[in-house]
Amino acid sequence: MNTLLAAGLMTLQVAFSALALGLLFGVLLGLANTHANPWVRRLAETVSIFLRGIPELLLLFTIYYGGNSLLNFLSPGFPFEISPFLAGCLGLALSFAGYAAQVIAAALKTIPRGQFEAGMALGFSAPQVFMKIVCPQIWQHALPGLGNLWQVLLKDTALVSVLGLGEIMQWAKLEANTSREPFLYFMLAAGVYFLFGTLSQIAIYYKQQAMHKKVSYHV
Amino acid sequence: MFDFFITHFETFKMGVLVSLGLTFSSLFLGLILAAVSTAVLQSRFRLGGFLIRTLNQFLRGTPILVQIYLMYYGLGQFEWIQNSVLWPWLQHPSYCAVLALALNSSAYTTVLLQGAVRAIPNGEMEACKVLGFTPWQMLVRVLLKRAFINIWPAYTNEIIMVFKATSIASTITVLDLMGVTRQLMSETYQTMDCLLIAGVLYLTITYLLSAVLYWIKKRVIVLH
Repeated sequence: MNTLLAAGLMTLQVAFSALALGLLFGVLLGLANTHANPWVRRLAETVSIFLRGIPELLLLFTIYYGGNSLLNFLSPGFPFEISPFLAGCLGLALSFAGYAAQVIAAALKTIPRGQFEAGMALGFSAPQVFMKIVCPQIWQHALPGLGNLWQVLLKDTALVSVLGLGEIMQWAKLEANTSREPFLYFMLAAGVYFLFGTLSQIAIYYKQQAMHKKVSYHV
Repeated sequence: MFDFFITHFETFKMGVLVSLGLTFSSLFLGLILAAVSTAVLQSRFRLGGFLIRTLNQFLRGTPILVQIYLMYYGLGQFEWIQNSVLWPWLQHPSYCAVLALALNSSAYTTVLLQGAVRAIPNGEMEACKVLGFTPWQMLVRVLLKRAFINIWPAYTNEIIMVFKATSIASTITVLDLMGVTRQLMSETYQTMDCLLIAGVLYLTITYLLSAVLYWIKKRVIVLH
């Protein structure tokens, strides 16, 4: 990672991988939050509180150092090791899911239960009802909230540099150390993050506009 | 794990106290900065408003880690800062961390305060002037009080977020709870013990903070 380009690509890789995993976890947690069974709801609420109450840095450390220590303890010499990339993705995804669950649960609540029952009556299985009927509708409600969480995720990828991953902050630290101009390089890093954030904002804005047009056809 | 906690109780206690100290210092400074920023933004001082808006965009759009590194490693690069009167303070990581966190918090709090100030009807301020309030009385008894009560629910979120963000100060060698955990991890090699204890402590403090803030909301805010 000796160029800004390679470092930037690594940042985007971590961010998008964490987003994919985070959406998966978030949807699962959101579904659990709105489940009929109160025990499932309580479990989901506890998990959410845990994921929201713990600092992201601590979560990353626990998955990386704690996870590797656990693997070593369980079977020394085990070939699999949690890499900083994997720890970063998992940690950021879990943190994302803690907040995304709320957004998705709120979006799910806007869908009348009758739609689910109608879908089942028409012969869809429960997963099919979710994928084909519910999901497209909640996407529009959830997008603003999830868009904000994505911006937070993008900025939190900087924390993975503390685990040693070769992304933008790591590049900036190395360059700053060798060139004795830390202010310049950290400002450059800040600029790159700001650029990513602004591009994301533009993309989400246009996606929202497109969705709004699409949905209003059916009104 | 429990006996590990008992053995190193003093260390963890110091870490928690440093974390809480960082949190409240940053929040206090950040609130003052936010109040000043809101005042400037509401005034007719166009250049100041532009500068503050740009600074807030930067503070909201970049990671806190970058801001802390800029403050600690970045500022030390310049000769004129090293020779200035602030250098004895800016050298210390805790002061840099507080400054960076305060600036970051002020960026978000300014948004909240602006909304709250706009929500106060003009009629109230005019009524104050007619009743003969001094500007200072107007500011404190009416404007600040109303604005603060308005933003309280959102500000409690900000308080929790700043508390979690103080963990990032550990990357510039501040010995807050996270820093103390890392130090113990490297000294005793009992990684899971340290990390789990730190997790429990963070969760407990977050829960207690939320409970206190909720109590404040019920007893103080709602009554007004």
